[in-house]
Amino acid sequence: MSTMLIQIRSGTMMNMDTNVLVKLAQAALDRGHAVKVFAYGEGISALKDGQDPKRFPNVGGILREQISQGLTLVACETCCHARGMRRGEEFEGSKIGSMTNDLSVFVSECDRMVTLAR
Amino acid sequence: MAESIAVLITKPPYGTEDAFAGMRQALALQVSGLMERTAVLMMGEGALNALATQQPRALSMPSNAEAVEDLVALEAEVYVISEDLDALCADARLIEGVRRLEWEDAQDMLSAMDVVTTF
Repeated sequence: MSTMLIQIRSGTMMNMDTNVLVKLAQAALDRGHAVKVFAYGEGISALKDGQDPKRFPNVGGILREQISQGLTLVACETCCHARGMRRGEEFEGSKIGSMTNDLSVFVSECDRMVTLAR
Repeated sequence: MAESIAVLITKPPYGTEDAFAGMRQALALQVSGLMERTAVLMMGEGALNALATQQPRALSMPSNAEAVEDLVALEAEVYVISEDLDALCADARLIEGVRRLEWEDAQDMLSAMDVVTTF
């Protein structure tokens, strides 16, 4: 089993980056790989609880399901704080963490790293 | 298991958050102590982040120059692609500690890194 780290830096409704994120993550999970996702910058919106888009895929809902399959999802605390997202506003199973304590470990433990941004 | 990372800075300072965010991420990885090697490579319009003559006070923005200086102070490797910088700026004065790198050498450097992320 290999470990893929995906860094997402686009917001959930900005473009299709988060849709690519969940499809890429699912493909890796289906093949038995570990997937860790670090949300940075606008990417932190992926963790926000209560996402309810009417016409687009619910990325938050898909990520929540993928967490139940073993995916790890952590957001940058500084990015969350800057955007007014407080601890407790993330959906269950995800975590507001940090670059120093979480991303650095993810990078050191990964076999591949993919960055999704524009 | 990754022991080295290259952070590519492709966006100019000021106007978007990307360059600053990338450098802060590189700094966090460097101070974590988990990376044997953290390198920042400024390319394209990102090469402008290497300029010592930045004046961000006019924009009320955090200084990308200070972010570069922090990386140098903490012994991260900081490079700027020579050809890209020279194409954008004549007689560029670099922030102390930033090293020029030709594209050919940059390819070798990147080949030696375990993972790469782009800003």
